[in-house]
Amino acid sequence: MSHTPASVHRISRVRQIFRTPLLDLLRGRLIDPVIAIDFQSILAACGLPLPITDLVADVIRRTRLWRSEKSDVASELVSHFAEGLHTGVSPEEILANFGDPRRAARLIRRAKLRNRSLSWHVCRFICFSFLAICLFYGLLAVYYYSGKPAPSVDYIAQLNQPILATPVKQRAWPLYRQVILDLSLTSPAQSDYNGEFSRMLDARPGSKRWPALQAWLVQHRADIDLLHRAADQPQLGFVLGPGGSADDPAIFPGQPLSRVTPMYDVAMPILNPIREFARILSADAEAACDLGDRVRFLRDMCSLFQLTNQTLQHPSLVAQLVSAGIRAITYDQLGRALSSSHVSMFTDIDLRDLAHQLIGPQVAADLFDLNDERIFFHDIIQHMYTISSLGGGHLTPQGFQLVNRMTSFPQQAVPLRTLAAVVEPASLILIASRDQILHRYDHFIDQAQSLLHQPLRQADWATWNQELNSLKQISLSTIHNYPIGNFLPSFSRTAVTAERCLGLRDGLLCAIALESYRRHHDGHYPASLDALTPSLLPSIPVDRITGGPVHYILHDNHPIIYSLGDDHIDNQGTPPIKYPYNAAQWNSHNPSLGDWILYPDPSDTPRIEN
Amino acid sequence: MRVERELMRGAGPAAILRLLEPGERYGYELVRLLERQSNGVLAMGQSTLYPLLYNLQAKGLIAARIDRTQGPRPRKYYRLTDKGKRQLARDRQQWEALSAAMSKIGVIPA
Repeated sequence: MSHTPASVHRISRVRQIFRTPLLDLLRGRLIDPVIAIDFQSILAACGLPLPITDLVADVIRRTRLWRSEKSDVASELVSHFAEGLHTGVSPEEILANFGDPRRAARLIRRAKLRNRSLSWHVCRFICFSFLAICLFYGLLAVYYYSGKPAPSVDYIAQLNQPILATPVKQRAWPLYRQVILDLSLTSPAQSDYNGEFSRMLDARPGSKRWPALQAWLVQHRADIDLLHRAADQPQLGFVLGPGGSADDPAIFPGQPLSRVTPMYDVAMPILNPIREFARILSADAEAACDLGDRVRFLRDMCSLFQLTNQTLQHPSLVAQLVSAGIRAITYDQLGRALSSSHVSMFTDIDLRDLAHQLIGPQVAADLFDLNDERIFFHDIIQHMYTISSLGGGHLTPQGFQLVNRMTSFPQQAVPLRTLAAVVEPASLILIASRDQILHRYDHFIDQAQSLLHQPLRQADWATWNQELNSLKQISLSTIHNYPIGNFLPSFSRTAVTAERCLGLRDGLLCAIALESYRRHHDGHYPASLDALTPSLLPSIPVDRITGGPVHYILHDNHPIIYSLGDDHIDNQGTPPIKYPYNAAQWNSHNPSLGDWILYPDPSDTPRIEN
Repeated sequence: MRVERELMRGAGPAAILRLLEPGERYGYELVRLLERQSNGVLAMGQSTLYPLLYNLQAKGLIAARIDRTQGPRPRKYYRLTDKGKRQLARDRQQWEALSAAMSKIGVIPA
């Protein structure tokens, strides 16, 4: 009962080392290099009764071990049964004593696996781990790709409600639309900022284009009157969304809505024409002032103020920035009129009315309401995420596509798209849920809105910006808050814009009060602004940079109202020489020397070199 | 009398280690010794013995060698390792403590 030579095999030293259990290897012992490679050969050659060889074969097959291990076990069992038979035990008794072959196979397999080498166990662990990860990721992918955004709030309908509730006759947009058509304001030539039309609107008396501007204003008197009528309407009346006012090929040719989300297209189409309306009205006011036409000037001013307010009705931060821009144009125009020789054309009542139109906003939050931005973001999120159910709603493939379209991400090549499709399900783990994103975003917006309610000199925008910047750098936090980092702008610049605007407004209020004082004091200005309160000014406006009262000085008997600027040094109303408005900074690391001139236009005052 | 499987799970390895203490033995020899020396109480079928031997081997408590010189078929001899000897010493202490405790509470007559 010996093995046939064919059934015995000597394995190589490398395989011998690989198959030796680690502990044996450490002890310097290797497994037997002479192994039978085929357990069936062993059974065929063993000479045991058939029922016993069948039993051994059954057990060995069930173990599903390596061939060498099977041979090893077969050899041992054969030896065992042969010993039993040799001692006189009957085959039936031996079979009965063996026990359950299935259980034996299971236990043998388990024990033999434990005897395998460490490298095999490591490989098995890695393979099982990899398979487990693949399975988990596969389930994740199924969950990810089965999710679809289900927008539940129609923000467009909500925002359109007050517009549609207003009678068409009280809406400004139909009249503005007519002006746009008459003047072709959305044509490439008219909307080009460097074009002749744009340059003409910036013309000042005595400049090369001034005669052309005057002629143009006369020629388009009817359209300017139409602008006044439109500005008089209580409601801007620009119907938002698909099928709304922007879906108008006659005035917005070649500007099809992107259809990314309904809210995404809200801001864009209307704002350029509105800015042009403001510039036309300002140009008309300039011409009126030049001619000493008081009524026309005041009419233009009134329309500019109303256009500012109408623009604020348009729900987007960009519209609010445009509104602030129109406000700056209006202040600039009024400041030039007040500092010109034509100031005498205004009656005392005119000055009072102008002052009344100026007062109102005190802090940046009066010019900027971040709730529009919040609605915009919430709308994007509801088009990116599933509904807030299990786990708070997750990002969807449509969400990634939407971001790519909004950020004009270039079309990806097929391999990259495939890679993205494989990687995207990981967003379920890496990117915050819908609830978390909205909560975090609302936290940012609430904080920013609170900061806008504070004077900029007191508001801690540095911490807010630091927190925001941490979401824009390359880090896990950035990935986790991916939608916020993409869509949340820094509102500290918005606060600066608002404070600069309000500072110029403060200067104009002082200038109007000073003019009123001068008229009733034989052409003399007061020695200090204190003389204006409370009869002409309720109180002296605050220097928005230092927190003290604004400063006042007479230069060639012309009043200058100024803030000390970011250097907090009184330069006697002298602005920085190169960029006068560089003094209007808050807590900058390198403050410009010079004052921030609130009135008149700093181009009319001597400057200080930094 | 045969011991229940749960009890055998604790007693089997200790019994095997003890049987290997004097010197190396092969599988069938162990089966017979277990049966004879325990009066059949610790007798275990081959389906239990060999997995038990492989497990003890995996734990490094016993080691095996194949002897092709004795008889017509190779025999696999198992022997106690140093680790196995230490384990046997620990098992012995534990069984003594267990036996004493069982005796004290009257499970085993004193």
